[in-house]
Amino acid sequence: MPRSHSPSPTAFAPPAPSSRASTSYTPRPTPSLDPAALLAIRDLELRTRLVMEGVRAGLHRSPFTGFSAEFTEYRQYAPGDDLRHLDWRVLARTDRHFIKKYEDETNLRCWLLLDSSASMSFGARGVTKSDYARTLVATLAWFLHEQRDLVGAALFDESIHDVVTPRVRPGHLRHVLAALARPSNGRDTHLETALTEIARLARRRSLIVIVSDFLTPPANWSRALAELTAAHHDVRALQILDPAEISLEGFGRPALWEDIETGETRYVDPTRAAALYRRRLEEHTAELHTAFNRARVSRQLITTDEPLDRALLRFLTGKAGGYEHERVARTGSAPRPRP
Amino acid sequence: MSFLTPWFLAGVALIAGPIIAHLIRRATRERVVFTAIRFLDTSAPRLDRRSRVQHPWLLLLRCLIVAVLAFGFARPFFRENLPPLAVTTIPRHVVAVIDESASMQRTGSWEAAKSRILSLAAELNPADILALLAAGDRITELISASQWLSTPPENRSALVRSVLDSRQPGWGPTPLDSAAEAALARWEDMTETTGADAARRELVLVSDFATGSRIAGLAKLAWPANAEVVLRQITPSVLGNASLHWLGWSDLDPERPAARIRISRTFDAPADLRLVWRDPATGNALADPEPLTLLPGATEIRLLPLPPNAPPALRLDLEGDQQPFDNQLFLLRPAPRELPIAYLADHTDDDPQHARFYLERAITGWRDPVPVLTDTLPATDTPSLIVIPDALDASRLAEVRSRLESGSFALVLLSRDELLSTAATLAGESNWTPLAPSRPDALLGQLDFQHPLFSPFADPLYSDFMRIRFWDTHSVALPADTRATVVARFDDESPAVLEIPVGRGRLIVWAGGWSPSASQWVLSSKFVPWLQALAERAAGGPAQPAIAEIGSASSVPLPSTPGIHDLGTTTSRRIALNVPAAESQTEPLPYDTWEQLGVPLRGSTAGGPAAPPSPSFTAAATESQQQLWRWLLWLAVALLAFESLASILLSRRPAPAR
Repeated sequence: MPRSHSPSPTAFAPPAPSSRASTSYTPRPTPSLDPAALLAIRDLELRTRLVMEGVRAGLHRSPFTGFSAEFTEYRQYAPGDDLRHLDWRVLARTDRHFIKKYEDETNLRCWLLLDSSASMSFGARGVTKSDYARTLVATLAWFLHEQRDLVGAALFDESIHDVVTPRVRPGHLRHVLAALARPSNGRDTHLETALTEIARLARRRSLIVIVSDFLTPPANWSRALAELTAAHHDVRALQILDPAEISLEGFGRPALWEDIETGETRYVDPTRAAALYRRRLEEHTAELHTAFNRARVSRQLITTDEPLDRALLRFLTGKAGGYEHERVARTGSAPRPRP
Repeated sequence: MSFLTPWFLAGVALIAGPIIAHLIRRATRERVVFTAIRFLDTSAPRLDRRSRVQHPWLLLLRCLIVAVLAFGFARPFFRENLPPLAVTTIPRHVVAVIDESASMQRTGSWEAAKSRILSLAAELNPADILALLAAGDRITELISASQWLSTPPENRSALVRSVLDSRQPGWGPTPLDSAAEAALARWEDMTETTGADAARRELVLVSDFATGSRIAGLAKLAWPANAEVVLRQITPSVLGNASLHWLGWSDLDPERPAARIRISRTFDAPADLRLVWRDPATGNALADPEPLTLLPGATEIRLLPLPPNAPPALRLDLEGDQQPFDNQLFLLRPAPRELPIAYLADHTDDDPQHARFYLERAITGWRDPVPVLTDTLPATDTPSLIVIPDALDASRLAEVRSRLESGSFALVLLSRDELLSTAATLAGESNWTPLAPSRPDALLGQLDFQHPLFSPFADPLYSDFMRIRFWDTHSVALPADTRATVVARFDDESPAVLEIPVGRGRLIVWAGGWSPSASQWVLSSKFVPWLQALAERAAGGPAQPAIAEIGSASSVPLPSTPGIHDLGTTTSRRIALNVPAAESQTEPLPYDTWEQLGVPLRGSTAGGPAAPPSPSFTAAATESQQQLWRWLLWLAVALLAFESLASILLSRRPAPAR
């Protein structure tokens, strides 16, 4: 069987079907790594290292262990082989014992596209979305780099302003971390421009992970996203939101509210405006859902009170997010073992 | 309850201020930065009462402060608690001041002033007391309170008339502030005499209230609570005035000196004016009249050359003006004071090792006194400075001693110990013994900056003598009964400069030489000012002005009439006295100037008898006794302090989460 160079989900399990009510917020149990305590550490590399330890532990317990290798061929079972790798279907059909053989995938090319606009600097409980997202992306980069995958990063606001092209050589991770740790004074979010530019940068088929709050209208960028997936890139979306952005709670008395990006101000009574806000956010989430599904892009919502290692594990194991057609499509196109 | 100034109650409406402030603050102070503003709609303000006002009790406090202040300013009082004032029985303590300044010489002014005083005396009740003062170059008491009380009531008007008939306006300034100060003292005397504390105190000023009147001192006076000032303004029958004022001499042309004169003309003054130089003794013109063209209301400064062969004393007349009181200017050209400086040693003026070299160069260019350096002693009656750098024989010592006793100054430079006997002999003392220096070099350690010799250096800017070193000092150990005053000491506390009174003169002893090998004194910047201070003392003190105004400050009493006057019998000093320039400013003072100075005015410029106290006056007196506004003010201050404390505490309270 020819070796596949396509960005297949070797590193990531297929995401589970998403729910339309994914923006409903419920308080989390006691986290293993408190985001506020973790993000109080200024050094991004140290934060990443701490999260990585949790991720490693989580992966060890994961039932999806072993999916990080590419299937290559079958061989005859010999006593002492790990029965987990025995192909039971072939055994049922042919009554022969075959062991699946895998090959480490080293050619996965991953772009981590991080939103650094002003809206990401929002944080109601001491944890900004920006810090959270940078740590998440850094941990992901670390994880991929440990697997000898090619990982690169691009930060955008009105356009892409910091780019580290995917490489695998030693020391490359430090470049990625340095780019992620670089402060940004971005203002507005132009996701369409960023998607267009990343399509130009990613000449080969790649895994593209977009980390943003996706609060801009999907109509502005859904076409660019569809073009990205049409170019055979595997695109995943991580939506980072603050819990206060979902519930609109904890804002106290009426006050003058100012938009963090546009500077627009209006007098808002949060108690009275909460119901309408939630309804509009639900509508926006539905639009997002439609846009991602059309583009066959999986989306995972992460709130900043969720422990980073758990969020990352959820992403790596595909337990949350996704799109409804993807499962069918991947099931239909999955390589089948030939006896 | 009644209010003295009830219109201040309208200030209660200012309560709306805190209410609006509370609402505005709530709406504008807190800002929340958010990401998804587009999902939010602008909320309408809530209408429920609890949320409209942020801190209702703090608002209540602030409203209370405003209300208390408004009530305080309205000056409330309780009318029923006071007995009615017996206004008709209150005696009056009246101090009347008649202006005797030069400006009252204007036509019709003095007669009008006398008439006002006479009408005032006529309207007084028998129980009232009058003291009459005249304000001119000094305050003169014309009628005292005791004199008034001792005069039968029916004869008091005649007393006033007889006193005023003997008076005439003078040539001095208008010291209204001094008159008011004297009135305060007279009121105290009247209270002590009669024991009537509740008497109404009135100060009646009868004057033209010219702009040049001296009123600045009124601001510092502490007026009694029941004092009133009544202004009775006198208007002359003829308006308009032109005046002369001397500014100084001009040295632009040494051959022909000139006087710098300021000439003023009011709008009503006549246009045909002339300037004439005259001899003050004879009144003869020294030159032809010079026509003067001056625009109405203009003031001009002119440089008038003196006529040829003009005597030292001059008079400049301004002719054509209808008000002649300030049309003459007496001038006296200052004569330079010569001061012989006798240097009693056979030293040449080009030898830098002796004091003469430096003395001659230091006195070059002095204007007053004008020093003349000689080798011989001047005449006995001439003030002089005698410098003794070397020992003198007995006959010379006796001559110097006689000059000292007649008023001259002598300076002995103790460049050697042998000169000590010369200094002691001149001082008329014995037992002066040389004092060995404790160090090879010395500094001036203690100086008496109050002494005239060192007073020019009293300013800390010039009082640093620490850079002047003395290597050859010959100080003196003085006996206990010495008359010498140590003006300066070296840093080892040995005397450096001594002064001994000898007759009418002074002997100055400098404990060291003046050559550069002995000290840095003659090369220092202090030397010339010190020498000038010494020469000025020897010449009789600082130069006195030759031209002054009547009533100006002087060390000797000055006459009170304009002209050329000889001062004293011991000196030949003469002085030219003129009418004060301020008296020529005849425009009346603005009325509000008095209020700005805190003068408790009652009447207006109109004359006539004083009206009985009105109901408003009774209310004011009642309110003044109760003074409830003071308590309200203290209450407002206390509330304000409490409100400030509460505001600080509230501002430190943590803000709600964004």
